[in-house]
Order: sequence, then structure tokens, then C-alpha cells
Amino acid sequence: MRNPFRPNGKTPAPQATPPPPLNGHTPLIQLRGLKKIYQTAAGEFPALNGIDLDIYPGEFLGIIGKSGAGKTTLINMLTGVDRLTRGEVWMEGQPIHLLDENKLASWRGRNVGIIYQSFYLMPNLTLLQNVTLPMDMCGFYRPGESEQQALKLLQMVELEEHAYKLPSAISGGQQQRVAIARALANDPQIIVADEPTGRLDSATAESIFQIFSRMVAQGKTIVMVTHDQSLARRMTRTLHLVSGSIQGANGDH
Amino acid sequence: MSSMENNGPNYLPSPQRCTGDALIEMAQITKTFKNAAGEFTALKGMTACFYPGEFVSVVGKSGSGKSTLVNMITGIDHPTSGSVRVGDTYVHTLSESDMSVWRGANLGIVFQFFQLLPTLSLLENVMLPMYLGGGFTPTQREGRALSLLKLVGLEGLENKLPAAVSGGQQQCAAIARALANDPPILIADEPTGNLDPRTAEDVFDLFAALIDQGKTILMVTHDISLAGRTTRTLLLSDGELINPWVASALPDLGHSQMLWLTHHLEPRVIQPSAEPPVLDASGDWLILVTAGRLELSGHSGHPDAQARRRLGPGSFLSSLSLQKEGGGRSSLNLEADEPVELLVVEGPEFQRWLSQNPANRLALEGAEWRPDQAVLEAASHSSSGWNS
Repeated sequence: MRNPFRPNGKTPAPQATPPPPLNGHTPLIQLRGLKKIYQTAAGEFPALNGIDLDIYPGEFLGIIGKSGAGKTTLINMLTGVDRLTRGEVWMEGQPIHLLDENKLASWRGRNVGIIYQSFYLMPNLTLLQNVTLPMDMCGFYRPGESEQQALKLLQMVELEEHAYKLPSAISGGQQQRVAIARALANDPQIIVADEPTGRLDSATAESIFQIFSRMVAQGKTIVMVTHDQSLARRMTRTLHLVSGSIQGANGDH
Repeated sequence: MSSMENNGPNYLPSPQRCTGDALIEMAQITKTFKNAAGEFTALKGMTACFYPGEFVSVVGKSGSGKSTLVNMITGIDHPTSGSVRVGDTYVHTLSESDMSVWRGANLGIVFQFFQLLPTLSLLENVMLPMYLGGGFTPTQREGRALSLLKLVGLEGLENKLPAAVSGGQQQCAAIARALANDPPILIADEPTGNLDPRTAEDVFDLFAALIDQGKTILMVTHDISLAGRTTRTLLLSDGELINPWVASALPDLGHSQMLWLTHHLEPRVIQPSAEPPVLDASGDWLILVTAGRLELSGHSGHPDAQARRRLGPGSFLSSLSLQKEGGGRSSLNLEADEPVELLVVEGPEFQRWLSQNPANRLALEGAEWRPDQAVLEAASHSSSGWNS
């Protein structure tokens, strides 16, 4: 029988439903049975071996582990920068693993702020332009508003007086702060950071960590890969990855 | 390719000032960096001119000042003294924020490490600079970005993230991004430095095609073979430009030796009406023709050397070869049917240069004028490239 609400008469695809939470709390992000297998010349390399994880709102979640343990791969699954081989990623009831590239890009632009070890600032753009342009492109703010918002973000990372400088005119730690401001541009719910302090001296790393701590205090959710055990101890929770699996029971402290 | 013809002699040797049609004029640029270890002068009073439609390569060893030179033009760095004019704009008179707007509209910049934003698709990366105010409406932007990606051979990959494509493809996307606001000038600092030779070739071909479309391109490179295929090459040593005639005629010399000759070669003009000068094998001299043709007629012991011979632009001759041919007694008359421009170093200075480094004598002898070479049409000589 023709469905009056669907003019083409087709029945809708079966609706996927999010998995139940792992321990009763309502998670922001759910990873289920996450597998990533890379095809290499030497054969298959499993980078992730079935990850089940819930990430809760307001968490400061650390991911530690040796090189090759799968930390960056896990992060890339979370941001949709890389495609999973098997498994599911859910955010607030939405199946991220089912989005096509286009939808994934716009989901990422609105919901995830990503910070890398390298700062990826464009050398020919001022700090302000580096923060403003991605905002303008997402169309989140009206032109003019975006610049005001970018200045606010630069103020938050204490760089507003350098707004019109080029990246080459400031230090590495300052460049990373600009990258953080840029990651916050669209007010994402979750910040994902892959070794954000990996190229910084310990004093500068500490100042970056404090910015992250402040953001968590303001309600952001942060997932951060780090090599630094002392930083990891100061987060809400730490996951230890070994050969693509989470060691211990879901990493709770 | 018509636009790639060598126009060298019009601009050479190193100018004191540029002619009016220069698109970019760097005048007496000095740049001194200060750090804890002291001062380092990266550019020493450099004057350089770039003309519309040129494809200029900038080469030199690490630390010779190549990147500093292009950073002066992009305004990424400021000169300690001197000025840079691009079109009608004196770059370093602009405020930081005006400069960034000007840069966004007039210069496309390509970097060695692509500098694409990893979280944006290729399409979004290309669209990004259009939000600087390049005059494209929001609806035009996506279409323009798609056509630029098509131009660089990335059609169908527009929704990929940078990590999902190869390094060469990332660089092509970065070039598309540099073209976003349709700037007349492209500045590329080692654009192929991180690419394998085949991919580097693709990127170079793309630049050549852009030259055919009327762009002006400056490319810093380590790749001598790519440099040899540009309109002309600027060779830097220790913050100064090496005279391109020297670089071309004596490619085997070390850069510091080329720079010494650049400082010590003096320009001379031989007028057709004048009493023809005589070059004597017992003297010490090096001459390098930069314009016009010299007829040589000589008295030398060597049978091949009896004929009349010609030296055209880019050819050189030194007392070493004359001594080799005919011993110390031979000599040559220099005759000119037209004004002939030469660069000359002679006497004790030339002797001093020869004794500075044993390799100098070898480099001269290796590239030295020979009778069969001298009668080659001078026009076939590249005056400024590496491929002579």
C-alpha cells in the first residue's frame, strides 16, 4: 500500500538505533566493535581490534599507549577523518559511521574541534584570518560576526594583541593556541587533540594543558592523545591502548 | 612553448634599477636577522626585477637567502632596508591588516609542505581563501573551487580529506587554493621539495600551463633540472645574486667563486669605430661577452686558431687558452661590427682569483672556449639558464 507520507511510495530504510550505554550514564559518543585493518605490502595490519567505549559529556579523556598502539587511528575514527573497517560510531543518537563524505564533513565542521601536533596554520594568513576563515566557510556566523567571535577566541587564548600578525611572527606555543582558537570557532561539543603538546617545551605544554582544563570546566568534552604520563594523570579518565585494544575495564579510574 | 622563450639579455647583468614594466621590483633589499648568536645578514642589498608572464626560478644552497627573498615579496617578512614594489603597491608601507588583504587578492602562495587544513575537504581548502573577499559571491565559490580542482587534475576527489590523497595530489590542491582569488602572481617556495620526481614533473607542468595563461610565477627550488626549464634563473649565494652570465658560462665553479667574479668583472663596451683592442697571451684576463658579437683574428701558433672566429653572448675567453694554444707569444685582435658589451677581469686580480682555488683553473679549462665552440651561433647560448 502506498505510504501517503512518502510520495514515491518507497518504504524508509530500517532505522538504525544507537546501542545501549555501557554503564547507565548518557554518553555523548559511543564506539562499538570498532575495527580498523590496514592493508599493507606485508599483509593485513589490524590497528584497532574491536573498541567499545562511551565518552561522556564534560569528560577530559586521555588516550595513552606506545607508538603503533592505535591512538591516532582511534582519534581518526572519532573525527571521521579515517574510515573504519567495522563497527559503529554514534554521537547523540546519530550514526556517524553511516554518513557519506559530504555529510560527514559538515557534521565534523559543526561538532568536532580538532587539534594536531602540527599547528596547520596557513603561513600567509594573519592569526585572525586563520581563525575566521573556517568559520566563514561553515556559515555558522554572519560576516562581521565571525571576526568578532574570532577576536574573542584569540582573547581567550591571550593572543588578541597579535591578531594581525602572521604565524611566523609568534612562537610555537602561541601558534598552537591559535590552532586551539580555530578548533573552538564553531563552538563544537567535543574537542579532539592528537598530541597537542608533543612539539612544545614543558612550560609551554603546561600552559596549553591549562587552556584545555579551563575548557573542560566550561563544559567541553575533550579527548586527548598524549605521551605525557603526568598530564594523563590530571585528566578525568585515561585509556591505555595496547595493540589496538583498550587495556583494563573500559579505562575508568 | 612561446611564453618560455629566453629573454635574458634584456634584463642582464644584475640591474641597478628595474625598467617601468617590471611587475615586481625589489630595490636594494637588505635583511638582517638578530638572534642570541648575533647577527646574520640573509640578503645584502639585493635588487631584482620580475616582469609580467615570467617564470623565474630561484636557486642556491640552503641559507643563501632564497626563502628570505620570496618572503620579502609576500610580506611574510620585512626588509631591514630597501623597498619592494608589486604592481602599484609598495608592500612594506601597508599595515599588517591591509597587507593581509592585499596579499589575499594579489599573491597565490604555495608551500613545500602543502599546508592544507587536515579537517577540511579538498574543495573546502580551495574555497577557504575566497572568504578573504576575493570578489566571488557565496554561490560562485563552490563552482569556482570545483573548476580549479578540475584544472589541477583532481576532479572527483573534491570531497576527500587531504590525508586520503597522495602528496602530489595535496600539492595540486594547494596550487588550486593559491589560485582561488585569481591572483596575477604565484609564489612557490620549494613546491616540489617534498615530492617524488614524477609528481614534481606534474606540478611543474601545471606551473608551465599557468604561465601560458598569463600568470607570473616565482619558484624557489633545489631542482636544477626544473630550474633550467623556467624563463630564467636567479642564483643566490650568501645573500647576493650571482651574475647570470657567470652562472651560465662557468657552471662548474663553486658559488662563492661565481660570486667573486660577479663582484670583480667590470663592464666594457667595444665600439665598432674604435681601434680594435688586442688580447695578449702573456697577459692575464678573462672576457665574457654579454651583447653583440666579437670577431677574433689572431696570430697564434695553433693551426685551428688561424681562422677568424666569433664570440657571441654567453661565450668567454681567457688568457689560459691562448697560452695553451700558442704559448706566450700569441695574441688576438678584437673587432666589432656593432657595439659589443663585455665583462672583464684582468691583471693581478685575475691571477689572484686563479690562485684562490685550484678548482677555478679546472672550471675555466673545462668550459673554455674552443675553436669549434666559438663559431657556434651565439644565439643558441642560454644567457641565464643552466642549460647552456
